[in-house]
Amino acid sequence: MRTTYALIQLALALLSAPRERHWGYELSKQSGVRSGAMYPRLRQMLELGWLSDGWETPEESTGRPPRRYYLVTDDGVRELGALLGRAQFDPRFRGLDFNLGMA
Amino acid sequence: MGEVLGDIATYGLGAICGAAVLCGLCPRLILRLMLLVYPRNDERRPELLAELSRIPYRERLMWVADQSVTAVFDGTLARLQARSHRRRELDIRLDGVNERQVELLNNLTSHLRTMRPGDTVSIKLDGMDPDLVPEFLRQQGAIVMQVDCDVEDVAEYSLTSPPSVWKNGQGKRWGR
Repeated sequence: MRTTYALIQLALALLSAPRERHWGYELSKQSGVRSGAMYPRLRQMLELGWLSDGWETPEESTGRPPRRYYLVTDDGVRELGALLGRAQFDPRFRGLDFNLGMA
Repeated sequence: MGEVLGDIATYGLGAICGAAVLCGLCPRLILRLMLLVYPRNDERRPELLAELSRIPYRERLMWVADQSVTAVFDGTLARLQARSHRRRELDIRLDGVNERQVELLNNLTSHLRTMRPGDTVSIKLDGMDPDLVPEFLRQQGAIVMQVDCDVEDVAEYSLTSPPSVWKNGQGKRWGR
């Protein structure tokens, strides 16, 4: 996967809470990546096994359509962590706060 | 704000106002139309519709407009992937077809060129999966429906839509 600014922002948002469920809209807000760039990345990460997905139960969705969530897998934690490790020293991503991803 | 001004400068005030009215008044309808880019069973369709119900009203306009980009990039990718996946699956299934059945499929392809919508054709399958025939023909742009399949292994198909690519007599043939 090509290392882009959007991917690094997304990786930071995902690894800020690696064991929690992430929702598309919140992830987009948190990472600052617009959904047009975010969803293709999420699709790739799912295919690579870095993420798993699931749907809210009817109890959780409280009468509204159930949302899809994303979970970072163990592979994902390792791969995204390695990605951030490399990106820290890449001048293209100097403006990003990498401490967020190391929680 | 700067983003909106930039959009106005790029697309013009009329286009932006038109999009704002459409996305603002009927966001769900507009989103549903955008999601048609995705393959029918793609999970992104219900996912984005569910997300819309959680988005604050004041943000919906921009969010829905943003999904046009999602549909173009993510939806097109999903549709291409689904298409190549279907082709691969068909190729795998066609690998199990014998020479006689290959001839049968190719003859049927030629025969369909002379048929009109609603016409039916009966073929002896020789042990071939009856679902394989419509699948094979769909890949070539023709839609046929299975009408009947009897114990003698003879299936009857009805032509729904003739393939446009055959207008010039250029039907594809499949070989081994």
